[in-house]
Amino acid sequence: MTDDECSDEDLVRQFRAGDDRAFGCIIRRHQDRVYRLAAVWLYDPQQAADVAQEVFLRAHKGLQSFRFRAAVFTWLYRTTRHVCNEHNRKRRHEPFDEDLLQIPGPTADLHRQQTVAKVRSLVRQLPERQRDALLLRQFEGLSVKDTAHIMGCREGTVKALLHKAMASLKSKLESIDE
Amino acid sequence: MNNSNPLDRLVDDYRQIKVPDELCIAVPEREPTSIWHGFFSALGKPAFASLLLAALILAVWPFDDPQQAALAQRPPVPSLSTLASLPLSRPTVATPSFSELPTPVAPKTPKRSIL
Repeated sequence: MTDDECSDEDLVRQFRAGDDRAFGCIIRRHQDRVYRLAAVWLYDPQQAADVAQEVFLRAHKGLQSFRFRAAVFTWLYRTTRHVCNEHNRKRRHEPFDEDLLQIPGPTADLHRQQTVAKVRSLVRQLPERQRDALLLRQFEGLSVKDTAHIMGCREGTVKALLHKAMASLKSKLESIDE
Repeated sequence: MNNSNPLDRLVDDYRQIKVPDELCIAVPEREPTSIWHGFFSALGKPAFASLLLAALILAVWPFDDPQQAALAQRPPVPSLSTLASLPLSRPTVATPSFSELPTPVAPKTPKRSIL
């Protein structure tokens, strides 16, 4: 079985047995997701790569005592939230930065920043629980079950939160496009 | 992917976002773990602690057979050769002579007052 076919849990077991390659595989598998979530949550999305780095640095230590009661991504998600909150706490008095488009860079970079800025501006006004449900289920494409597990609530609650969030998001998107 | 729905388009764009440069994590080197470290870290685990406790209880529990214990408390039965060597006469108890008996002491009567 190659590393890509292994489940997250198997990779964690290999890593704990001393295989650092397995940890590299965990990073490659989840780094984009952690980066995207950090870019949306942070006051300063430019720090998203730093946050992702910090999350995996903590994972290197934390996964040694991982108890397999939850999915590996649940652990990474909560750590990402925690690290983002730590970063945001220092800057909570600053206005939320939506002007990300002034940074010069390649077109792909600009497009990425525009997308992040658009998602941020849309989800920012939602209540926190709706925002989490929307990001995980709609944007990250996780199942309702996984989203409920990560958020620590029932699947019915996720569906209800998602329904409200989608309704307000669609109306906002329509008003933007008009 | 060409979606007409603005939300689907946004989701597609969002999912294209990747870390600009692959993360390079400078992880600290693992410390070599000793047998004692492993033992004490395992001690924290409930299953291991329960097993250890059970082993300790088994080690100190008195699992003696009650019949064996009762037999051990009885005095040993003398063998026939021991019995044969015993003297047949009863041991005599020395009776004390009359002079050795304690002299009785008369009880003291309280003195009467003349007044």
